[in-house]
Amino acid sequence: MLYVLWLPLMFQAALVVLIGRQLLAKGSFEWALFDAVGIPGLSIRLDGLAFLFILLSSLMAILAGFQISNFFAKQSSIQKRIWWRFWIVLLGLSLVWTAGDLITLYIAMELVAFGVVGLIALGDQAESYRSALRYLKAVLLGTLSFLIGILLIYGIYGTVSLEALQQNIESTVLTGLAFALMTVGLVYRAALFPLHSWLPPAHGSSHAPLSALLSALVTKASFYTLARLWLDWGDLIGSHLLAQLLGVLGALAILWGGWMACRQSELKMLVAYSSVNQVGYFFLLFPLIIGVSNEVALLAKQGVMLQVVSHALAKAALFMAAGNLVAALGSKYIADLSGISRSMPLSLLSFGLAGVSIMGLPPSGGFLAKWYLLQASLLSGQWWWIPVLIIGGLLSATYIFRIFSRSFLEEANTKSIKIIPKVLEIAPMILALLAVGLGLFANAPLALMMIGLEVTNGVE
Amino acid sequence: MTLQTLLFLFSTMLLLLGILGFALKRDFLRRIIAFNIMSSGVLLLLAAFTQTAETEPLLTGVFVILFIVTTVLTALTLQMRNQLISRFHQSDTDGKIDSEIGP
Repeated sequence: MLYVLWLPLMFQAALVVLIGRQLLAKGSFEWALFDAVGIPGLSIRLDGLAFLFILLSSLMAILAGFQISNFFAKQSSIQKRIWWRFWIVLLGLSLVWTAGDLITLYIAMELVAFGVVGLIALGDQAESYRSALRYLKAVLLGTLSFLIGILLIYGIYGTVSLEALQQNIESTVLTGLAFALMTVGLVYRAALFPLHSWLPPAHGSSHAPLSALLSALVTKASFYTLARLWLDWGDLIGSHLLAQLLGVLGALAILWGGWMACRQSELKMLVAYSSVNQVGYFFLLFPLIIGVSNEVALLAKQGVMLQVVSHALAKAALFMAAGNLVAALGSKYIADLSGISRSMPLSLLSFGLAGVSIMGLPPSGGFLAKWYLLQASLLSGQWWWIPVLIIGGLLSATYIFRIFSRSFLEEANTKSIKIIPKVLEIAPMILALLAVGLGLFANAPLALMMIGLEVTNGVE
Repeated sequence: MTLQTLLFLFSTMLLLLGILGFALKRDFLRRIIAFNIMSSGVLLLLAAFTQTAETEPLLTGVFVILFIVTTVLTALTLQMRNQLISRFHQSDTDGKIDSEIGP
């Protein structure tokens, strides 16, 4: 455990501190990776937003690593297979957050994908491998579309550096086609509404601490990339129509994901469909940054960033808590939850606190995010997002309260509830508290995000 | 007809063929083959694009190598399926909740 988890974690923490000091001292910077040996193209760029996500993923690595090592304490055969996949995913994610050009981005996304397929396939239900292959299919098609977009861009401009492209890119038909292809590929990988069908089985059938990692970070990677591209180029080549379309699909995802979550009979599938529901909110970013005032664009960016971070924290907490409940019950069905409040109050409390953020009740991070989005839609006159936000909140409340109404039922209890180690209840509690506390201490991440992110978007 | 248009036509054809195969065929082997056809289409597309633009040959090389590496990785991942299937046929765990896994 020392060599596969704790030493790499320490190394990672040291690296994060070093990068953070560099960033605070000098502002955002770029670094060409292999220029010295003559391989062009590969580079890394680091700014406040990227650093925020590095912080998020290293925090998640610590907590998920802790949870995984305790969850599989007795299964050394699984442990052996987990760790290298775990670190490949994290390496890929760090590269996604910091990629300074399209090739690095492509490598990073493939790294994440292959690690994740391995992690999903570790589940030992028979449907795990089916879900893993389904995920692989989605990812391959998505990445292929993304790659064709990259090739088009490269063919037209002769460069893949994001920095150079931001200055040179022009609105032409071919560039628009490339941009659309990249958007479609990333949307597929981010599991937006009509292309979401691979997500619930993948997250529902893998082991709970692994699902926590997947839903907290991996779906964010594709969205982060898409958001980065739109923030860079959206003003020049993103069309209003495409932005509104993404927003509408996001709205449909909020409604459909919430509705499906209300109808699930398995606990982890409910949490997985809740991801479809929450991912929908991210996509309200696009209509709210294209062709609006700077003020609205800033509000939208901050709102979506808060939504991404609070969802990552809350959803990881939900999955870990759900994993504990399922392990204690020996059953994956919501109907069997009755009476669990007596024996597992802590896990249920973490579930509830994380649920507060998912529902968007104050003072959680989820509330602040939705409040910003609401304000942005009001200010820009795009009133049609407001009912979506409200109905989405109600739907989330419905599915979270479904769990609670079931678990507080007292029945003549004939089930045997397994005692699980108390140490497993620490990580979800920390994550849930962070998700709720984010609303109170949102200034720090928001200030960090603004380093190196000029407010160039929007038409005055 | 220049070389570029020819390359462009062929790559689009291969891509469409691959996508059709991927969408319509259920059989696993056919899908892998369809995906490989798609990949060939992408490589040809790269060749078509780099005919005229002032692209760096080295960067193009990086693209090609990357693409080959991904294809090999995909093949290895798909290989995993066979191992998994044999695992599930041996042990009769189909659809069973993982009661032995976890704390």
